[in-house]
Amino acid sequence: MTTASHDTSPLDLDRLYAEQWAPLVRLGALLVDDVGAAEDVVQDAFVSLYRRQDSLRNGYAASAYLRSAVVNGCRSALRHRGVVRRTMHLVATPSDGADRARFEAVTDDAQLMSALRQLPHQMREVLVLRHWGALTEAEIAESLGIPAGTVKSTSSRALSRLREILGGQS
Amino acid sequence: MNAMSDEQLDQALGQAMQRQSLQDIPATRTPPAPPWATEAGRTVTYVPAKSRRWLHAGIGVAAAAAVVTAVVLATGHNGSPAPGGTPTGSTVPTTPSSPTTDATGPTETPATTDAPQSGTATLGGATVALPTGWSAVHRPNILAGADTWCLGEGGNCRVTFHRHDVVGYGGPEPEVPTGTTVATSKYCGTDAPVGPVLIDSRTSTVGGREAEYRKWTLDCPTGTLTIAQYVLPSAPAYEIFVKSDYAPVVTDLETIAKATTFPAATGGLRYYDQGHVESATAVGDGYDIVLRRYTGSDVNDWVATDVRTTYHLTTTLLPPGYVIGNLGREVLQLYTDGTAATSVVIPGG
Repeated sequence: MTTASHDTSPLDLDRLYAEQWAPLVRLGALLVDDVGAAEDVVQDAFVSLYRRQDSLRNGYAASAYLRSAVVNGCRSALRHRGVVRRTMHLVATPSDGADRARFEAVTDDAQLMSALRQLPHQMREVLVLRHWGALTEAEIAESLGIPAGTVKSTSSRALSRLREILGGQS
Repeated sequence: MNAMSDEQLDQALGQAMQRQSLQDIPATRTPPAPPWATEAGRTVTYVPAKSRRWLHAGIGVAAAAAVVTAVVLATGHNGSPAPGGTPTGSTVPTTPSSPTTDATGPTETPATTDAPQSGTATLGGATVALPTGWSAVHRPNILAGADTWCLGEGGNCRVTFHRHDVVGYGGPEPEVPTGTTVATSKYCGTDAPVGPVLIDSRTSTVGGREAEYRKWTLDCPTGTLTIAQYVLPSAPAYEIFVKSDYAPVVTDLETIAKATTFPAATGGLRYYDQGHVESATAVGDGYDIVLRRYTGSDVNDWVATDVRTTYHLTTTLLPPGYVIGNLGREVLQLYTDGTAATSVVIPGG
């Protein structure tokens, strides 16, 4: 995620696609718990980028645009899934049975990811962008369209909430 | 695990995310880059990928590349970037209502690329007679698939004006309050204890076009927000949006709505629709369905309307083996390119 974040070279769609497709799908999958849905969101983001490439100055601007587009797309995807998610009480939907089973054998990871899925959307977005995307507060603020101060406070509250959830699980 | 220090929790969280995401999406999963078109000014048609979820898992990855390719190669949609307007200098003597404390949309950022417009502004093909002292500041990259302008004094976002150019899923769908499923933190900045409450929902004529109007409130920990919008769901699609803890902000929305003239609709079908299937007839490669539109605050208490629209759904838009039945109760959400249905969402399906 950080590879192209400071790229000020002219926009190269092929390079951007090769470098950013997988990281963006990973970001989306962490936000929506569904690799297929994340791929759809990323695909939409690149289509949107293609149409707006003339208004984006360089790779940095394009990366920021793609990141915001993926976050917004994931919000939209979650909104569409709202009905089923509400009835499922935010129980995770495994995206790949075999891989996920192996993954969940790692108990701590499974507990952490389960707790992450129970956080409100914005808290989850902030934690994913911070801990997985390794973005700065300013970059997270830009991606989510919120003040940097809100990023900091949200991150703090998210970790507290995460602890509460983890405490309830143990 | 709860005994971890903050630093240990940070580290464990990052590692857990890395392990899961790398396992789920290895770099080898990346499909080939599509053949980007190089002609200047070429437009593309958005082909929603929702139907891909119905494809057999074994061809999913290949389909991803194919769909992207189709998106790039297709042409014909009126989705060219909205033209940047120029100030005309004329001013409409409309007085804005009292200042609001927070009228920014949920995702606004201070980035801007164009000079502010005042007087009579041209925003994505629509003409807006701005109130005295107001300006329109272009913020093009706020929302994917949309061009956005902040309307207010000194570039404030008292009213947000969107032109939506990406049709279908992720396109000109309004911010519909759907019970507790709306991301309340998106509006409140933190989680709200209860979901939004729909105050008003109706259709109305705005600037020469049919628009959907919605107004709802949301009790945030910091106070009650009033949120309202007009949405023009057909091409070219627009949205006028306000959000504030100052309830009379709706006056600003009405002021802008009355001062706006939209270009005529160019497409026959709305970009999205939702409702109950009243009839379904097998025709050719799919079904002709009659959808009775439902709008409202929640899937469980949508308000029935008397608007019925016939759509043709090819079987490729539906899950394999899916048969449209349960007439009168089957709920569908549809997306179109303006002339035909292009994807179907079955809530909970």
